Amino acid sequence: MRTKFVLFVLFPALFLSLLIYLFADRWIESGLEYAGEKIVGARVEIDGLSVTLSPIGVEFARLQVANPQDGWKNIFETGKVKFALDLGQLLRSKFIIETVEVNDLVLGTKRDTDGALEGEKPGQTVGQPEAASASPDTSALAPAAFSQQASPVLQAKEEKKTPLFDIERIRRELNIDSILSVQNLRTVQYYDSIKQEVQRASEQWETTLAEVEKTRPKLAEVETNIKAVNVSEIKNLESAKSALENVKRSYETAKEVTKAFTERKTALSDQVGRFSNAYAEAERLAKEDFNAVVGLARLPDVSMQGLAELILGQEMLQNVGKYLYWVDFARNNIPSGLGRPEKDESNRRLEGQNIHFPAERSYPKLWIKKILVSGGTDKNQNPEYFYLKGEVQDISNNQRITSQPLTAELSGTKGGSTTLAFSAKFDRRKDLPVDDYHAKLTGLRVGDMQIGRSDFLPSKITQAIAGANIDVSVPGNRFESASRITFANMAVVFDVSPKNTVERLVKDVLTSITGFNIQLRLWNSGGKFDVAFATDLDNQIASRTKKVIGDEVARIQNEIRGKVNEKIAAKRREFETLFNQKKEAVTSRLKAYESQMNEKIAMVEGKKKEVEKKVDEETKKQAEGVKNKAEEKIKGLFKKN
Amino acid sequence: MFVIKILSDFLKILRAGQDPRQVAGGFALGSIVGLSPTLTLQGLLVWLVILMLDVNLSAAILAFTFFSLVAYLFDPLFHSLGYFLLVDVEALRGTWTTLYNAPIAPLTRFNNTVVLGSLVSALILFYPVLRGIKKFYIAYRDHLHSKIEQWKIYKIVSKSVFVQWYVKIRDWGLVP
Repeated sequence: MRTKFVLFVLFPALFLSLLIYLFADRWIESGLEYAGEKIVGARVEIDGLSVTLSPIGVEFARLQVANPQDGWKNIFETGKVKFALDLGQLLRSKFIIETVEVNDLVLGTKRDTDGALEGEKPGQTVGQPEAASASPDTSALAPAAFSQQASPVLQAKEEKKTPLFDIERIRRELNIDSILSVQNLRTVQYYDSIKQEVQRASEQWETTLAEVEKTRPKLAEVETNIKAVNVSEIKNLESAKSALENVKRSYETAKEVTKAFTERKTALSDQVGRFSNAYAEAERLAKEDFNAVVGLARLPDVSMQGLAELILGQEMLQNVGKYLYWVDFARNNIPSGLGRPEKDESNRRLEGQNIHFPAERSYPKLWIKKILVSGGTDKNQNPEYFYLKGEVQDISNNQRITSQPLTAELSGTKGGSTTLAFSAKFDRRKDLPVDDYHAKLTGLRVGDMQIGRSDFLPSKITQAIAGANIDVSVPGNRFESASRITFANMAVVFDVSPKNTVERLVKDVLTSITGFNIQLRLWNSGGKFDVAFATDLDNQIASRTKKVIGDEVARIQNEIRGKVNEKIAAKRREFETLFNQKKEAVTSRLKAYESQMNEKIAMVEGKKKEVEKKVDEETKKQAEGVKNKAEEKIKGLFKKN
Repeated sequence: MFVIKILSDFLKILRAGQDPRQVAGGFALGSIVGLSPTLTLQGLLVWLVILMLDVNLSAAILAFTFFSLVAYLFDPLFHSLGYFLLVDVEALRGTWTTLYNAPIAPLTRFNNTVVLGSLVSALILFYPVLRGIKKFYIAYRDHLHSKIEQWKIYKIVSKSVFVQWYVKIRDWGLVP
């Protein structure tokens, strides 16, 4: 033992400890900020962090988390935050926190500096936690983010072409004959094609009929055979039996001919019948043709369904994109349980791979049991922002150990009149991760909401009270969301004067009403995302529009329908003439042959009965003769005795 | 310069006329911390042992430097060994799980493949290194020392600035 070395180590060690104590606050602050930024993908700032030793814990004066979608706003910021760590578990390298106290949680505050991180694209989902990446859960993560899946659908909705609403212009410019080209009418093409098919089929029918005709000599032979049998000339049983055999053979031949005829007749009837069904298909195509021609004419749907979607959809769908980002964020950043770790061959030098083992003492690496959020005192609240209060429970890196899903129950107010209630559950305890959200917003003052489109009644809602009820369920890779949004006490300002009748009507409707409801449903099934948008504004616009332009649109539509039907009817007549002619030919020939064949069959059956009767008579006669002879013999025997 | 420093240290150790057990002990303990990839709890403990025991500190530092360089080359091997012990050996799973849940133990980062692989390798090599260095030291002192002192490189190294510093520190009594 060298005592000088102990001194040499002890003093530097004490000095080092002092140094760590003095700088620990800054180091921990930087570490937490860095970890937060890795998860959120935007700047995370902590002010005034200090470490307490008894109990061992951390508190800081302010936390700001920038919004990765808009760097000049925070997702939220807090006032004082305080928490203590479980020392026993800390020595096991586990971060177990009973309660985190969060004061003055405020949503969406503005920032003085840009919170975007360099090299980070806005809106990009980042931050796969270590546990999730080290223990891949095959069922937990979807192949593609919901925001990516929904993107093409939302884009298609946004880019939906505006129908031409100016009836005067339509009437002036519409030339129905020019859009009624035969190439555009599928029904006409269809009739042409089945006409050719009938022509081809009739050749085949001829062949079949020729096959039928080939059996005529057989029938003639049968007739000759039957006529040759003369029952009155049959004198004994033997000749009767021979005649019966002859008749039976003819009968079998006639039956064979009948069977072959029946099969061919059925086949021909089926083929002919198939063409009769073509009328139903032609009717369907005629409807499509009409709709297609109406589409080419760019006539507005008289029902005006979808007009409200055109007015309101763009803003709504942009918001959908934003909230899907956060759904993806939660899905990707809340880790699932452990699996057998795969060997990481690509690890960098000196880093190795961390292997995780089951935590037997029911403590995961990280577990924040409860976050108590207080919204601060009313008098200090800024009316521009939401102040939240409530609880978030069981944030952990492994819910299978804690057996508790992550839950959040938050409520907030803004300016004293707007309320927000938000609850969520993120369940990672089973193989299938399930996320559920419910949000209810009431009394939101809408100050400046863009509606309409650049090419259709650009305008904005300058004043309204909005409310929303949003339910989202994300079991595994499926997604289901239903939202109901209401607007009341609404005032609308129009950027430009209406350009046509429909715009004028919509403006009248929007000016006269004070509110409306929107129902927005988003879901994916089989990897395909879909959006359904419904609003009672549609009905209000439709009833008003129908009164004014409905008659005119209906008249143009009837004119188009008449011309379309005229073109189709001409082709239909051509088809019908050819088809009926061919059908008649086949039917009459079959009938003629069938009656002749039936006649022969009747003749054979009649003869067969006659001969059978004769055979019976001859049999009886013969039996009678034998009996008489036997009696005479017996009588002779008695006489001798 | 760095190479000269190591060489100088090495020659000084051999020349210093210390007990072979002190030199070999220092070198073997230094090899444990040298093979470890990062500063871990067990690494700190080994350093403490080096400082507390009367082993040759220069030999420990030299071994630490040398094995740190060598370890880079063997990292893939350590990773495979660590992975094998942590994942593939079912019999050890219970031990690892207990350690994983025990206090303090997780601070050793034993569940890292390279940390465990290098520690196990270092412990296996400890005795052969100890014996090998001891034998080498005795052989050097008895047979090679007088010959090496005649080498030109030896003379250059022994007059270098680092060696002068070392002599000063040694004279303060901190280095044996």
